[in-house]
Amino acid sequence: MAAGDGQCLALAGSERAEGHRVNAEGATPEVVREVRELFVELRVPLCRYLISLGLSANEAEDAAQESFVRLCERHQTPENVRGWMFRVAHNLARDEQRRHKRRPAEQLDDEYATAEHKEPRPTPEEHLLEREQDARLKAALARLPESQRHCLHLRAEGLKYREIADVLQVGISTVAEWVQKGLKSLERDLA
Amino acid sequence: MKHLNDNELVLALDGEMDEAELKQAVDHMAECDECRERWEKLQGLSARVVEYQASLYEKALAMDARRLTLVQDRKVFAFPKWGWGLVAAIVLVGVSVGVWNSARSTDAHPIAQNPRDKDGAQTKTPEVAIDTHASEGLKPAQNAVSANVKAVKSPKTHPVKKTPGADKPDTKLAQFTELPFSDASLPLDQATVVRVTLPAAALRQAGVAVNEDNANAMLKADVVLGMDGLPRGIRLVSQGNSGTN
Repeated sequence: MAAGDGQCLALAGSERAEGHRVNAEGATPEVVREVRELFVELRVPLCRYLISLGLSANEAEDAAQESFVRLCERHQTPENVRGWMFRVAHNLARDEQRRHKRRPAEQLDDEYATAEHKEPRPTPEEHLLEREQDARLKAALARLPESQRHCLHLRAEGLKYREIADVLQVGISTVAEWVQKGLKSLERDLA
Repeated sequence: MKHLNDNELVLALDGEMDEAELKQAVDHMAECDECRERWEKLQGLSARVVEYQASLYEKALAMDARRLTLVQDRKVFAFPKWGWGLVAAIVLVGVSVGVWNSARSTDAHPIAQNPRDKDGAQTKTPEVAIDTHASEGLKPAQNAVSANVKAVKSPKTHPVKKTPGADKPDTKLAQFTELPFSDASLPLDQATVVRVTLPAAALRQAGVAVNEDNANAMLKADVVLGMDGLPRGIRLVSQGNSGTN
């Protein structure tokens, strides 16, 4: 992230970054610094989560940027800022999917497999095994109810139950239940 | 000994227990192989989900990079929208210049159109004068004389000077006649004039009027050569007998 003078933020890392300087006038230097730190900390996890929801890398990057823009527009950070950021990003992703009838995230693997991917693998056997395991996990995740799948994706990004509850707008005990059920289903499917 | 249930194991794994409960769970797993094995399984499963999610991100980045490459490749070969406008402008300018040049060369062409061209009608030959100073008095077949082709509009036309010993040219400067096989559209800049001696029959074939008296004579003629070396026009220098027959 590049920062301008005084009260301006420039969010780098996507095609929208250029010329998208966020005017954070009114925000204290502490808030500006906090947002910058959050950007460094959360940009990639947000993108990973958004991609798991079915967005492309560029779309995820844009949605993550938009989340930070909205955070800056608040002029003050919310109490549960990580949960808030993921919730905004989650809603943006849902909007995007509604607009474009987005394909499920799991198709990415198939699309990727047909592409010329020349990442070096140790051996063909390991490559095959890895692909098989990924395919099974992908299928198992696809079979989960959406709520449980979202819980597991958010959990994989290191969010606490309280934060997941904030993103999905449910109670913490519900999150605990969904996580537990989701893991149990995965375990059963992958056994 | 009471085993940890799935809920407790997941809560412990995710750090969602309070300190006392977590210590109790850890202590239990230190002694219970079954619960520890179960814990490790859940831990491995969670790690796989994390890895899978990270790999999705990498794959998405790679896919986007590949799409971008394809788009860029396409852009290399794609004709820009404004390109057609540019091509049209270039063609328009080229055609305009061509038409202008053509009109200009037709106007300035020093060689008279062959009178026989248009339905046998006698068309007026454009008046031109050729500076023959340099060629004057030169022996035939020896000289390629530079000719400055000028429009007669200019009053500075040069009469042919009489040179002692040379054949007497006609009092009026003979006009060049376009050779039937020459291309009138070719430019005549920096043309040269060559004086040659030809049989009267050859001159007649070229469209030059020759007196019946000289029907079998060898006559002197000036031939205009373009800078490409091709003859464009011819004129008779003298109707007089220039050689033996």
